Amino acid sequence: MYYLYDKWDNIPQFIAISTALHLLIIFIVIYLSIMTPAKRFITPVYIVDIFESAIEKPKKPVTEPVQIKKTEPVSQPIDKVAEEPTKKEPDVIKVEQDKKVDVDIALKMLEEKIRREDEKETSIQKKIKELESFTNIQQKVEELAKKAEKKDTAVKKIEKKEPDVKKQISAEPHVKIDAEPVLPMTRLVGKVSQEMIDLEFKAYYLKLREGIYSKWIFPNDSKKDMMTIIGLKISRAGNLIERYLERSSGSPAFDNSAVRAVEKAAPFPPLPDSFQDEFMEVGIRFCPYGCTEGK
Amino acid sequence: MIRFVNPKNAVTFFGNIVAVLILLEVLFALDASAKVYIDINSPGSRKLPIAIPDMIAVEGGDRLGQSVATMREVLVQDLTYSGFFDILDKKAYIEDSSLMRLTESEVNFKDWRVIGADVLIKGGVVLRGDDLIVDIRLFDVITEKTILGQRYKGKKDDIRRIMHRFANEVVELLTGEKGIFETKLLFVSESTGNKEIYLSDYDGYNVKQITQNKSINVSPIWSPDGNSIIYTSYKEGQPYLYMFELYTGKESRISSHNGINIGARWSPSGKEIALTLSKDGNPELYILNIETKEFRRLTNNFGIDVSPSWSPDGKRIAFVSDIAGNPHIYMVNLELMSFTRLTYDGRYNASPAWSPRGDKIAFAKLGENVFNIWVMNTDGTEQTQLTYDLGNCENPTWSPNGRYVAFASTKERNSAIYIIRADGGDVPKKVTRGDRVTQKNPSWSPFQK
Repeated sequence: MYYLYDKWDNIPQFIAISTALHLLIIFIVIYLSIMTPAKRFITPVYIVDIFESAIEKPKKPVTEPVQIKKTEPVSQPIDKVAEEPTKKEPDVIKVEQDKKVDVDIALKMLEEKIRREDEKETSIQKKIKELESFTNIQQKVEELAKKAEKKDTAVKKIEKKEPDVKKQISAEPHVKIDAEPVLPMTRLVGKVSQEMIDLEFKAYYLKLREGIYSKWIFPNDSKKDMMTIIGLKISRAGNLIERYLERSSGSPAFDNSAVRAVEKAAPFPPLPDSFQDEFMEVGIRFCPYGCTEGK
Repeated sequence: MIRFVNPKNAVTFFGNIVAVLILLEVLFALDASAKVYIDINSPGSRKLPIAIPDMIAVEGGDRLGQSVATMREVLVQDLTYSGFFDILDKKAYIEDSSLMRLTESEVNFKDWRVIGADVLIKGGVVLRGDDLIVDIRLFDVITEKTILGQRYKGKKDDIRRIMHRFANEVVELLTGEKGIFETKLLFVSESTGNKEIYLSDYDGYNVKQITQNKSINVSPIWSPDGNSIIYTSYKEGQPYLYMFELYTGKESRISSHNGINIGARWSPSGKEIALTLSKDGNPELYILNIETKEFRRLTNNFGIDVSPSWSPDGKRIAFVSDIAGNPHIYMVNLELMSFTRLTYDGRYNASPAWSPRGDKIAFAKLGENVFNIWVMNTDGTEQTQLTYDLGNCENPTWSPNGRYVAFASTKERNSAIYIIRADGGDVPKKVTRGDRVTQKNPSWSPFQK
């Protein structure tokens, strides 16, 4: 200390040492605070809520952002997600009104498909199974519709239901129409309308497929392991806005046959009413003998 | 100011990161899921509808005469024959055929789309002196684009060849498979009273005589590169094996052992020739190395071993042996030197021919007093009869794409060459032109360069 007093006149040096010490302390403080997240440094309260709810109620993590949004916006996307349900309310009702027509269309499509398959003498059991599953869905939809008509409360309840976003998260982007339909276009809507929108979209995709299939000609049967993907943008009216070669098969002959099929099939049927955007983007995968991943 | 670590808060902090990540993932998933993929399979057996209006004589039309019509005929024949195309009836064409619309900008594609055409071929021809110029284009009617535009120059006699070449390119561009329309056939004809070797286009046109020695010449076969042929001739008194180079006209004797030197077949590599020699007594199979001129004996038995046919990979040879009494088809694995019997049915199975795709063997089988062409797997299973009611059908030979089999048939008075689809899904087509001509023992060329 004496040494310091003795050099009291050397102020700049003293300040430098002092500053260094202060900086060190500040650094330690910041460092510790980062490692020990006191509210003061990394506070946002709402984030705490998300996480705790995610741990405590892992089965419905999606509901939480909706509540949080009111406290403080984390980012734009969350706001958007949170607002979705209110936006969709009128759609819920609309879809219900249309559902019978949709089912009829879907059923017609299926019957047509089955008739064709009959001609080809493919497995009968498969067809019966498909029919049965479809009539089941139809019955289910009718039941649900009755309920909805009789009880306004039921509809309200459905609307209030927490949006099933988790289902969408797990939704496969690659959808095969042959398989169980998983339709990503349906967003934050109730479970009842979900099923009907599924039907509506399934019917639409079937129409697309049949339209393009009927125009596709590639006569060389010796070419097998190939896949061409043509990306399409379809307007609400069903017009082909854009087509592009998303993936080439490596054979220009095969690629071009796919392009011709799409061009000949256009214009397509108008998009389903429940579809929200200005255009729909679809990928058509052309394969001579079944599309399998990795080919 | 500084807090000690609260376990709950620590969890909270990392939880924040996790939560944000989850949110990002949700948003990303929503975005990515916006695209649906629809699978379309099995384009089926539908044929590609193609419109081929008459070629247009741009210059020298009076001297071209029938040649203009021939141009379209060759195209129609080739494309029909490929099995890939549905050639639309000329009567349905809307466009005024006198209009000289030959280029992408001139063609009104709607005129062709409305009649159901997916693709369109238009061509013009100019004859100046003896020089022929053919401008010909293939259009995609749907996308309204030129797929192929070619200009060929030649003499007036080249017209069929030019159209064959264009047909080849059309098939390759639209189906991804090489066309066979420039391939050729070797065969034996007795038209002059002697057995001489001849060459023709795959469709029987453009016949050229190769040997002129007034002796007996048999079993012509192509080299894998298509430049040379080998055949057995008695022109020096004995059945020796000769090679003839098609582009130089050079001829050489390559096997002249005592006894027979017959049934030679070039290996896929072009370095060896399998043949039957009787120098050591009864007819046995040998392999001749063309460079070293050494012979390697393959079979050693008391039977007659003839008609070798190489597998496309050059590792196996199918052949005929009567070691079990009647002639049947056997196979030898050249690496293991192991022998397998392939046929058991029938009294007489002859002239095996391994398909270029490697999966089938065609052969002649004696049924009720007549031979017919059959096809089987390379292990002898799934034997399928290809020819019916065509008299004696012998000496099958495959087209280089493996889709067709040519053979000699005695349905009419004289032996003639026919072509049939290897899957049997077609009526046999007679290739030999003229009724008084005798043609037998065909050999289909490899793809022509």
